[in-house]
Amino acid sequence: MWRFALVRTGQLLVTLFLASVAVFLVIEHAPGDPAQVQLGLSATPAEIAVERRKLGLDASVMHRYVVWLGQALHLDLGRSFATGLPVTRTIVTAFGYTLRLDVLAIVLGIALGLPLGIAAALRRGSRLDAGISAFAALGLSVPVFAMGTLLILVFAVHFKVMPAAGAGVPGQSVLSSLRYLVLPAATLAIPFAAVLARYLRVELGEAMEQPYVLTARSLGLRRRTVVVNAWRNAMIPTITVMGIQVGRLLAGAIITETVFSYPGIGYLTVQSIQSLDYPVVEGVLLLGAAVFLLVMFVVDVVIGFASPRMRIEGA
Amino acid sequence: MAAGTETVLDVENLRVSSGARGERRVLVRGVSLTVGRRRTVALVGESGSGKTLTGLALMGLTPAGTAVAAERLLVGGVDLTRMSEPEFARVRGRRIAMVFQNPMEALNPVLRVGHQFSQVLTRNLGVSRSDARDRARELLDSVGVSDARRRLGQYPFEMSGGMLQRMMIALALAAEPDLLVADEPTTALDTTLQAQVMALLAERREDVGMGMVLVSHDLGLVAEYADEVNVMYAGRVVERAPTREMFASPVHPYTLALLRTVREIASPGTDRLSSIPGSPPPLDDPGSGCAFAPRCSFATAECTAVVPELKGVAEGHDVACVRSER
Ligand SMILES: Nc1ncnc2c1ncn2[C@@H]1O[C@H](COP(=O)(O)OP(=O)(O)O)[C@@H](O)[C@H]1O
Ligand code: SF4
Ligand SMILES: [Mg+2]
Repeated sequence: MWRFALVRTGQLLVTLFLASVAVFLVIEHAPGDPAQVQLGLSATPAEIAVERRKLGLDASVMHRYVVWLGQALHLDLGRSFATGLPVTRTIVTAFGYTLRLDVLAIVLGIALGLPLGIAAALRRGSRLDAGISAFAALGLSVPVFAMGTLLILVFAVHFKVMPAAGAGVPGQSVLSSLRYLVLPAATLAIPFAAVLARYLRVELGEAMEQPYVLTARSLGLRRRTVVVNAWRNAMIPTITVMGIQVGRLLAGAIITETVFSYPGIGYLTVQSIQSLDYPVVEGVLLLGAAVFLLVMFVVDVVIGFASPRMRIEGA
Repeated sequence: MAAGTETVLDVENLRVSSGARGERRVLVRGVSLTVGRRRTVALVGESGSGKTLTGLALMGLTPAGTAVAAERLLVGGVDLTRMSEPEFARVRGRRIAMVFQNPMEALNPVLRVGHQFSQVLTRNLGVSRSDARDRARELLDSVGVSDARRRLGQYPFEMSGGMLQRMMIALALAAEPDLLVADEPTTALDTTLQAQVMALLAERREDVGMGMVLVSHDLGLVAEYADEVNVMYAGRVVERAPTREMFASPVHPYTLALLRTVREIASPGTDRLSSIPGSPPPLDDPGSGCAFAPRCSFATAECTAVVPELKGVAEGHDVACVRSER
């Protein structure tokens, strides 16, 4: 297990390094001039030159990268071109918002997807199964911006029971900050639940057809015990898929956060790209890569525990 | 059946069908078996003749979309024909149990064997978990598994097929059922292990005092361990007789053909597995008249006209063939 953790950490560091190089190169060749963006179209070439020097853009890419890397090793990602605030702090704040949103979305998604998937698996071919499959297909095919907009129209505009956008004000009560989370979390939870339900339906359905289920029944075990035993097998492949979903959420739900003007990582990503705020773009992209790899690592550990064969034989 | 032996299985006219009403197809029909305590009744026949389906029907475990009917189905005197699924689940593992062909797939791969014993023992013996642990060790002892404590901490994939089949036998017999259905219990094992596991089953049958339905296509095994043999073809019993009688004076052409394949294998110079030319029909489409007719060298026009009924040819010896009806 320790060897495994060590190897994975090495992989993580190498990947982050490569990602940082790639991000630098891509940004370097992106159209537009950050200094121009910061100063506006009326700025004179002289003013722009000064601004470029101020932002550190006058040095060569190579030089800038080495400086940036040296700082990054101390978790200092520089300052935002747009706000002048440290990038690390900006990102941590935004990630806090994203984390809050995602936890709620994942809890809702599991609460919805797990029972639906199990019910569909145990009654495959029934009307209930068809209904659940239809829900899952809908949840996956309706675009996120449409779903978000629909929820806003119904619950914020028509019934006026939920706020339409933002995250509220600092220092508000937990309850009122929760109100800002409900609609975007629901938007994220629906496709999450749909994926979970679909996978469980197939995996648990297949597990229920395995010989060990027949054996368990022949030994008189209760249906509930038989299903739980089969479920433990079905969860192994399902965990991988859901891990990818979680990783994607944590890297910032760009569309959902934009639709709801929710100040998380996804929103920050869009903002920073639009304003050519290089340090922030670099920061959010690296965070995304790190979070994704970390989640995949956690998935592997969880699967190691769920699958004794993998744990014991290291297969 | 010998006089004075208590009957543990009494099934009359067992029928398994599939498909919705209106387009129902019969897969197994007219199987009647009587098994006494400490007796073994064998079901033999080629693959696909409905032996497993018959065994599953006794357990109430036929696949979804199939239906089981019987004029009588008594196990240990209990009528199983009118049971709800939860009621039937309480009978399984207690009055009637089954051992399957492939021990490598029979246990749940992600649960420790000890956990699976615990689930079965707490359910079927009503014991606490800690008592279940002690019982599991005794049971493993009874099936010749040493080092029980370590074994119970392992997962199925850490064990050999022979070991797993012993475990399965221990689980199936934990609550000392009246009847065990053993479906090809040694087919998946190495030849040396086959004899050991059969000997174990015979020994446990005596100790537990149960009856056994032994499903097998291995006639040598059947000759050694069964008291009565039922030969199945295309979902029907075509001949049944006490074992000695069956091997001494078989009557049905299918039985003759089966026995001939065994003798050819046993005689020196033939290392190739010989078999009866052709293959059995699908269970749900046995053709008209005698299902064996297309492969039978004695077949006449009469054979395809009506399905021959099982008729007595000697004491306890019944045959379903037009030739024996005269
Ligand atoms: N629902 C069903 N409909 C049609 N045929 C079925 C159904 N279930 C099983 N069968 C057929 O029954 C046969 C299996 O019989 P089985 O009892 O396993 O034979 P054996 O154990 O003698 O080899 C297979 O050929 C399979 O195609
Ligand atoms: S009934 Fe006819 S076809 Fe069938 S086994 Fe007897 S002789 Fe052969
Ligand atoms: Mg079979």
